Amino acid sequence: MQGIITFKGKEKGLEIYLDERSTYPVLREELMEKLKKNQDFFRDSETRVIIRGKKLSEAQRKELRRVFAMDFGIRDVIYGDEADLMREAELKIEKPPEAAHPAARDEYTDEVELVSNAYFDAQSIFLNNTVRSGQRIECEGDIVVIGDVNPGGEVIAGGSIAVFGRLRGLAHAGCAGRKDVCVAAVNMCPKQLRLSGRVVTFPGEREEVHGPEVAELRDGKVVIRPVSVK
Amino acid sequence: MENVIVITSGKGGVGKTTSTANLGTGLAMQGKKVVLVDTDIGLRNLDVVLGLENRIVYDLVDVVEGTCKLKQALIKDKRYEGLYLLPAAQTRNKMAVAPEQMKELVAELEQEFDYVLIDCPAGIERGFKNAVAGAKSAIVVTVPEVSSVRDADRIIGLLSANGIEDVRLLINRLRPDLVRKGDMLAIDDTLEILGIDLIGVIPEDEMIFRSSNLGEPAVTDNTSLAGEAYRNVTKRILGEDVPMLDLEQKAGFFGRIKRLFSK
Repeated sequence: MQGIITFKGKEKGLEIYLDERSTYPVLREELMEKLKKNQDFFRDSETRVIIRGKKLSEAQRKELRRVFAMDFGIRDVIYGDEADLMREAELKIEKPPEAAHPAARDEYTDEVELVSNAYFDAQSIFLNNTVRSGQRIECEGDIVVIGDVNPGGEVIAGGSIAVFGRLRGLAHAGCAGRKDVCVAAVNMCPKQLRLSGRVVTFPGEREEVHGPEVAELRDGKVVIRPVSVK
Repeated sequence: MENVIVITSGKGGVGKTTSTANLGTGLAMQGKKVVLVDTDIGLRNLDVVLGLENRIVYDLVDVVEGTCKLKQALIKDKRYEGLYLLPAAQTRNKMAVAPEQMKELVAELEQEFDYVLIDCPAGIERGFKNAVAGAKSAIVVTVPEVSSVRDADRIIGLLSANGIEDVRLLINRLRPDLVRKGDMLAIDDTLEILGIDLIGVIPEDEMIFRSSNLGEPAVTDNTSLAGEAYRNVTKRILGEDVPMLDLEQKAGFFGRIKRLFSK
């Protein structure tokens, strides 16, 4: 673990370097630990933190920003590529005027982020075509398919799956263990369905299904219900 | 459709080679200059179906390796004006040719001919990649059977990944009597799964066996229902708007008798 995160003091704050060879979850853990140990040092909320090194996704950036803001009171967190862009911009453009009620705005943002907490760190896929035999769509977040999932096609999501068409291939929602997931389809007729750790098979033909349905976990069992019935 | 068409299916034995022979001959009968390219290296049989087996001297691999000129390897079918065959090598395997080489070859053929029909081998490996390398359009052949339809689905996805968007479906060996009994996938069911345009439906026809063994494509036979279906597909390739054959009515025993007399 030693050395995957490097701190460097700069004139106006702190530069943190994240090792590119490491993965995000490891880096996040390590960073939290280091920050907690040196908490006093960061008590000054004027500190600017620049994060460099490992490329982070938009969701990961957001998460780190939130951690800095909530746990350490540091709101000025920017990333290396942004910092490089800003350096020039700062010279030319005046800073926009502060919002009239900055406090109110912050509250609102926090609320929004809490609502979407379940989807944190996960990117979703919106697919505007049919998933054909032999194609495999994988995603840590949710997957929406506008089209059919044909026999032999596979849709694997960490989150939920929605198929705006006929689901005849394999759908696996919650593949990493999440249980609050569902598989919804306008026409649900798969041969097999997977929710979290559960696998259910449909021995007969489910062609005679009418209307959109949702499959979800209830008390560890897979339940399929029409979308209209809660 | 475009002038370079690959005839493919994924699954073997659904009638790619028979369809290539029939559509090629059909196009030649319509006055087009056509070349049929057999890319099934190591398992060639388009030459047999066309009855040109005995005339092969050079083949596709010879052309690609520079052993002979393209013109030397082309076999002219003496029965139909404008029909040529570029046979596959039988003693080599698919690795003897690379997709880039196929692309060059097809580009060269395209200069000479109105239509280039490429007969694709079964499978999705090198042979498939070779066959689709130079193609602009594709005809996917399937029989009304779930395993074949699933393979066709896979192939459509792969064609799209190779940048071929003009893809038509040819349903082969349909038996209306079995469809009626619910023992065979109906045309609509197949189309619903695959979601591409239909270019034709070829009924199951015993004459196909005969014509393949004789080396005379059924498309030339006016009494064959499959032949008529292939003629219609040929016209659709040329852009004509031909209604689909009413197989229900014509496939019956009396229908066939009537057809024999009406010709």
